[in-house]
Amino acid sequence: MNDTPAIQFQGLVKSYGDVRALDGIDLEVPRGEIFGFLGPNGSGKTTAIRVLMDLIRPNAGRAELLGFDAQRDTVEVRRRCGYLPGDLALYDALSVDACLDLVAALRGGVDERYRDQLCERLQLDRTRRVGALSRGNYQKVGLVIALMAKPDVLVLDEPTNALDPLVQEEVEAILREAVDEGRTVFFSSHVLAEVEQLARRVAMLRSGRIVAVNDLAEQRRLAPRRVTVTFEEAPPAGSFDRVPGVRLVSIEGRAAVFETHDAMHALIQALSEHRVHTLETHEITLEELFLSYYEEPEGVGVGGGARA
Amino acid sequence: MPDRTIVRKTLRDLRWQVVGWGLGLAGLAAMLVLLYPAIAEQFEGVELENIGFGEIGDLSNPRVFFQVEFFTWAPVLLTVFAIIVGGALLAREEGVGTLELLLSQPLTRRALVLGKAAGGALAVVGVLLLAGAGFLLTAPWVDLKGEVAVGELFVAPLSLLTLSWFVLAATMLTATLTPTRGRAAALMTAGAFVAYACYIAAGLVPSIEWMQYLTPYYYSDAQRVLTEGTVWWHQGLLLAAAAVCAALALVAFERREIGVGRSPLADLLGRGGGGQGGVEASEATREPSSVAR
Repeated sequence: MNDTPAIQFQGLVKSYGDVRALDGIDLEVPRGEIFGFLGPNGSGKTTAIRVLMDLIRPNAGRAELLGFDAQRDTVEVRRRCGYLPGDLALYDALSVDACLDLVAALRGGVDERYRDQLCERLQLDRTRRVGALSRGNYQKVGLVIALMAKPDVLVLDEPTNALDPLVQEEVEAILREAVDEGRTVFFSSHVLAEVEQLARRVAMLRSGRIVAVNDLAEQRRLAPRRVTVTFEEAPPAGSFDRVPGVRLVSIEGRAAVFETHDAMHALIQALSEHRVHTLETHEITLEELFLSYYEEPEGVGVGGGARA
Repeated sequence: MPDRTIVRKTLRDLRWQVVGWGLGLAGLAAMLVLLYPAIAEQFEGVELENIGFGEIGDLSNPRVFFQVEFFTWAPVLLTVFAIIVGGALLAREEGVGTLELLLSQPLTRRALVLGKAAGGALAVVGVLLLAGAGFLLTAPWVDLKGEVAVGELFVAPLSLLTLSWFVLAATMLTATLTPTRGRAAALMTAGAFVAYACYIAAGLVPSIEWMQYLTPYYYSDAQRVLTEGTVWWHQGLLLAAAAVCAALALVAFERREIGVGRSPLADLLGRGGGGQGGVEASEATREPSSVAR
């Protein structure tokens, strides 16, 4: 059982009439890590998570959590999972405490001390009526609900939505602690910086398909360097067309941008034939990398990520 | 088995409605009891014709008076209450999004539906007991000519229990088969209006008398509980109908996709349309209170 992935999607298809929200998703999320589920709005992240929670049913394929089938073993899945919906709705008439008590009674086995700690760390006023909370505090209640039973797997749909930067940092620390205790965090986001900060690996969704699954550390290692050059005079057209291992990203007037993994020497040789005014080099950012997946035709992107 | 936390939560959610509707019916009962002596004096020896509620008879008889005056209105009021409550149990929770919170806990859909239904059923009992209390608290102060015992008046509203449960269960069923609570309430209100109109018309026009047998109001014994007593097979029939509706609601809810705003019948009938999926659809069907934050 310990070898089974924390979460597994196999050929998951979900359609609404003519709209294909999920188009055959295959994904394995290993245990004990923070895994990011990245994609623009409408890419299918929430749909996949809602299938996992058995709130909606797939047209084909299956979703599993710790080896339990999302549809057949619903109660087992929910017992082992803490879920924060992307579009969180709570009982506005209840106080924060009453709301937490309600969920604790439904779940059973909630560690009250841990619950108190979470509320304290997130600076949550438990006496206030839920309906009177700001969006950020409302989100904190949702996070405490998902976390308080110390579930094996946390499934969080846009967890830091509406949180201020200080609280975001605290949430990230809490999630890292959860992983240190051997639990798994699976979270969706469309905020690249958040994913980069938190996740070890990330799956990228586009139009209901997983376009890449990347190990972020490996990604950083394999990422090309980007070189931005300003010439004293605009170089003649075609000057850099045949530099081996170098890709000309853009050239406009006196400015040109190149990318290369390991051919910096060849690039410098090519540049030495022209009068260079300035030269800057930097690693390609994850943002540039990920945007390339969404801007270019499906299946084409920069970097060395594994294609799903 | 119903989940006890859900039963308690449902009763808590409905407490003010129970108090409001119960006190309203209790007020009606109390007012009628206090009016009775004046009415009895006015109608002494007057036999009224059938005006749609069966043979009325002597209104100076407290049994006849309370039968006509209280049990004409009470089924209508309880129908409205049951439609409101039946719609609130699952459909409102789905509409505002809180159903997702409940269904992300280790709880089967069956336990949730049964818990909600049990809470709703107990809420109806509360309303009827409060209505009976209206008789109980005022009848000892009025001369009922020894025709009817106070205890009998107290329990008489409970004869409407099975009718209310039936409407409650039918509303839950309609709400699980329709995309939104609004449509379910509209359908149930229209259905109840037609059924009650048929029931009244059938009492007035002998040629369509058969129509009353098709309406649940005939079997509620509202028109005879104090004058002829309860017909137990009528109550059994309504109870069975309520159980069937609740069971069908359970089956439909098991198949329902939460927050998508589409009927489970769409899948059975092979119609793929309806919701547009995921959050987008849930927001489209969501009631304003939860998205205005």
